[in-house]
Amino acid sequence: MAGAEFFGRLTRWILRWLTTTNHKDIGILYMVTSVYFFFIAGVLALLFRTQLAMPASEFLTGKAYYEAVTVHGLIMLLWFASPFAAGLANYFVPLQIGARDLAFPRLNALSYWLYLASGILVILGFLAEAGAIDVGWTMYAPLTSKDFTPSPGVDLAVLGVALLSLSVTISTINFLVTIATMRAPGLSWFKLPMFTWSIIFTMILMLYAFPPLMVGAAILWIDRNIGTEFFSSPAGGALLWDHLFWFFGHPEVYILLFPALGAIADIVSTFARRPLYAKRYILTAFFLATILSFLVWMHHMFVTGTNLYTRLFYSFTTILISIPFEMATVSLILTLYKGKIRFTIPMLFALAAIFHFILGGSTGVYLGSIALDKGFRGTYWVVAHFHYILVGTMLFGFFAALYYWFPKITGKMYNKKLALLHFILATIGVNLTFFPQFIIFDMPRRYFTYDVPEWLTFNQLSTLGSYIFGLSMIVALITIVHGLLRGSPAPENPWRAWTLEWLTKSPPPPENFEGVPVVTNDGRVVFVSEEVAEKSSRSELVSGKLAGVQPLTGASHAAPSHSHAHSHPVSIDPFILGVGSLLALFGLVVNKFILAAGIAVLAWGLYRWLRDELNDRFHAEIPKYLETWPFPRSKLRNGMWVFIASEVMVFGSILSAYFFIRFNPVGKVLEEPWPPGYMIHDVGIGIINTMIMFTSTLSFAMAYLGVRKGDNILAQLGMIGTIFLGSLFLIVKYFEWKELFAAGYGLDWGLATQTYFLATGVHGLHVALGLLLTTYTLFKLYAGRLGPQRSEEVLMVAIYWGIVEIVWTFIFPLFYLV
Amino acid sequence: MVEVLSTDAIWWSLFTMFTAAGLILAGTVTLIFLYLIYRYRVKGSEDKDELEPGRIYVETPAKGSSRLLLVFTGIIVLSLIVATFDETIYLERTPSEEAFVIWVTGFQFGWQFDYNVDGETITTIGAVVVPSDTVIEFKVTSRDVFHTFGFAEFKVKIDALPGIVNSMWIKTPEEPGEVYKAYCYELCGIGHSLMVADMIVVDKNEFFQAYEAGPQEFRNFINQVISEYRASLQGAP
Amino acid sequence: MADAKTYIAVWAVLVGSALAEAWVVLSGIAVNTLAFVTSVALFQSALIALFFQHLREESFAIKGMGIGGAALVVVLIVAAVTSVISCTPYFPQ
Repeated sequence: MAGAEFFGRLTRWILRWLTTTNHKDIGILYMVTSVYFFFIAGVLALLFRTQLAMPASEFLTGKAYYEAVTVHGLIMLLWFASPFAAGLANYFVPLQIGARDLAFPRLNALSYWLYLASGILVILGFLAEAGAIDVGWTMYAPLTSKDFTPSPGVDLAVLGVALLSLSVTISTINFLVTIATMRAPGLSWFKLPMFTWSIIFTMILMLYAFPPLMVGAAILWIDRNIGTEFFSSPAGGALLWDHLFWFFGHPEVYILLFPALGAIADIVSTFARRPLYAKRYILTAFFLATILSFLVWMHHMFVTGTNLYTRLFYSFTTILISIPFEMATVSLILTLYKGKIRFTIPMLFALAAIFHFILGGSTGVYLGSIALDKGFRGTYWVVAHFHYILVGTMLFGFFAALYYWFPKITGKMYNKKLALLHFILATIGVNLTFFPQFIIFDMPRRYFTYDVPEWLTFNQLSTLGSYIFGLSMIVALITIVHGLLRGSPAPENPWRAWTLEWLTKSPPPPENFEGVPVVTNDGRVVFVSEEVAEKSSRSELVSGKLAGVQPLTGASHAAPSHSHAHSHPVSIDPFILGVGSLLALFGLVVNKFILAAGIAVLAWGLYRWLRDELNDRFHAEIPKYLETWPFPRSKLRNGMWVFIASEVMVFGSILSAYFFIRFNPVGKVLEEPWPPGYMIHDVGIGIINTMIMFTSTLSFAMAYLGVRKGDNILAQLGMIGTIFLGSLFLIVKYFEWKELFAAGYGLDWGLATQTYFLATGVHGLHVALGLLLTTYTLFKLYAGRLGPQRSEEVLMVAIYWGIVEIVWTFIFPLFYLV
Repeated sequence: MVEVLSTDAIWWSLFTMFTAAGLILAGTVTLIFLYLIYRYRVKGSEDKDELEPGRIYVETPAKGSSRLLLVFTGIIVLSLIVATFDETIYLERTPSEEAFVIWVTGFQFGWQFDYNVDGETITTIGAVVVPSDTVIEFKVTSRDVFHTFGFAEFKVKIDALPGIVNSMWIKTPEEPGEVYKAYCYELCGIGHSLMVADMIVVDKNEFFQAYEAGPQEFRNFINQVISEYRASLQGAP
Repeated sequence: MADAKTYIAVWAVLVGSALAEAWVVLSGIAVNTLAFVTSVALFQSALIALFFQHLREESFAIKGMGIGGAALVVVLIVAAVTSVISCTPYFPQ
């Protein structure tokens, strides 16, 4: 019987993790999964470092070496670093802003399961006969085309990247809406802790940077599998991929760096016992860096031989971006001034990270000069520079954050001696690995064999360093496990820190706080019961003079709790959708039956999701006492607008591919010149479809008007009109495509028609999705199931139709007329 | 005729300039950092501070002098980059009208070099012979995927892209005899590490004598130089 | 708050501008067709965003998010086009 009991407990334990939607659980899932990926990618690094310790070594074959290098890069950047930060953000952003959870807990779980599925897809490549992806994490075209690399490992990785982009976009919506509208009363933007601020900037960067990557990955996939030639033909090719990839790739660096810097700022300030020096400068610096990071990507293309003046502009902006980071660093350092510095483990990691950042940052300034980049491009200088940033700064920042928040997450203290050993080994390891690489900066990157004797010693030092660093990771693992099993119980606030996450139990209860945290005008944090919060006005709350307020001293607080009404609903649907996407995408590469199974699972998951949604199982209004300025209170509307911003980037990327291909002089030599649209397409049909599109949006506007005025007939008629016109649009499109193929203007005609099919195809998919949304909304309206925010729910769909129509106003003239 | 500076000389002067500025700036910041850590460390059991948990502390306001520090370092960094614009433009444009042109085509996995002698193309693979004390312009393209052509010693490189020709120049040393390695600097497939070519510098007069003697002479000359070099490699232990 | 009349008026402007655009381009009046159609598309997009998506009623933060995206698209297109336009095509035999 004991066995059955154990089995039951195990099942419940597994089910708990599969179905949880609590932000703290998801945060732990993110962290554990990303650390797992970290160890995979780390072992790969040790493999190729071993190869490089001997000249002309045959430890790895060239193929194996490039698989290791490529997957190391991809996994470390996309499946370890960002998701680990996402894990910390999941756990601590709601705590730091005094919220109970994220705005969309179920979407949050979906983000996680999609992330896990995408990572598994990439790793599955190693099982393929032709091996995993081996074209470098930058996946430069046209090496990635089917002619040069037929391996399905590339397809798996590309689909993994696309799926990850989807997961990231969902996360950005969730976090931005949460921070925008769910801050505790009195917690103004300026009072938010630096870590939360860094997550805001990270999410903004992700929002705009990931769609071009998703589009690039999708185009690469159709290139390889449907026969288009965006990246294989020189008319698009290497430079087009470079632009799409690096438009994502450069902001990605700051996506990785910001969360670590934010955590470092909080930690330095806590252990120096000083409020952050010139926080407004740091915020300004982060803001400038966020904007500038989108204006520097061409420094990865300094030796492509493209237009000199374009490159000079990007050289200027690249150097410009070093200034905000220098501002932030100086502010961090000046925080120590007049402080009382305590050298705890998190503080040691944070200080070491700042050292590494100064070195890694100033060696990066060289790369902003085109003249110097001619010498440095593709060499170990670049490798050393960005590893000082990513390992020396980012990873050290993560370690600092891990030790800082370990007591809060686990409720246990770690062993200081073990952690100190981890710190010493890691610091020696990092510097021994990467500093020698500055010295052999003549050595080209990604060489698995070399015959220059002077490079040997430094490579051996570097390999030795990587082993020491690997050892330090084992010590870290032991420290964590030891802390979990044997650690002494942690108090609520072991560091005497002053951000909100320390004002609750360690680990926090499911609802985070007992009562509602309120930041009063004089900067105190008090807790009031929810009834009081609901009844009082904002000014009463933040005055701190309400009766029944619990002043907080850092000791246990016994506020009467009734908040268990907020128990977290569980849902298995995100997990089902994750499994479905994994099966579907894996099947897309490998086997049709798996694909069919995946689609079936996806459909089942979607059905369950909508059924729950219909029953309002996940409906939660944003309480009116929370801070939302300057955003509307409706989380649906905010969320849709964030989504629209990512859609702008999706179609913008396709549009930039259009302009690039049309203006590329290579295309004019290579194939038939791009003909004016009216030579290929029927302008009459284009105009008809334009009218249909405009009218369908008008029809939906009428539906919205009907809902607002309570006129159900008008609302239903409007939606039926939209569904009818949208379907008509797709039918016309279908016949148009059929005719084009029949007339010989199919995919093999050239890039002009391929671009047309890409743009209208993606647009058509959006119309189809819009039809689904509208049908669902109509059903809800008809069945009387629209929630209390009924007009917001309809406006959300109207905003979606708007972007579909806006895209068409560009597609029609650019493809049919010009 | 204006004296042509060598590409590596320009590069090293810029490198020195950046390193000097970097050492001064980053060095100062690091020293301040170290001093602050030392000066404000907690001694012994001193464990009191006025900061109470349960209160939000936002920031320590900035003082005027630190603002000056920010502006000052910003100006230095910016002037650094603007100072390199001239050199960049100089490096981008082949400085001499009479540059000797060699076409370079990257392929998986090697480099092909083409000379144009009296309208005839002379091709070598994996090795190239160049005259000493001359400005050489490489016209670089690719037959298949993305490669990057460059020399470690001359501190220049340029991408070899299919469908596009890019240009890069170097000035060869005055004395003949050196052999330089050309590498590929962009991952181009599993043979990427093997894309190494030799550039053999020969005496300017000998080179141009053969060049002017016509295609047949020149082909013989080139082949002889390359085979002699390869033989010398095999002779060596 | 928009009413039915506003919606219909905006719709009429959209339809009219699309028809006029097609006529202008096909009859060859426009000097630079690409610039012309892009401006018309921007005008139409602005109308749709302001009235059908009700961007008019949103705060500056929401407006900034969309406009920021549009600005980044412009940056991407300008960089992509200006960088490639001076390249020299060449195909080795």
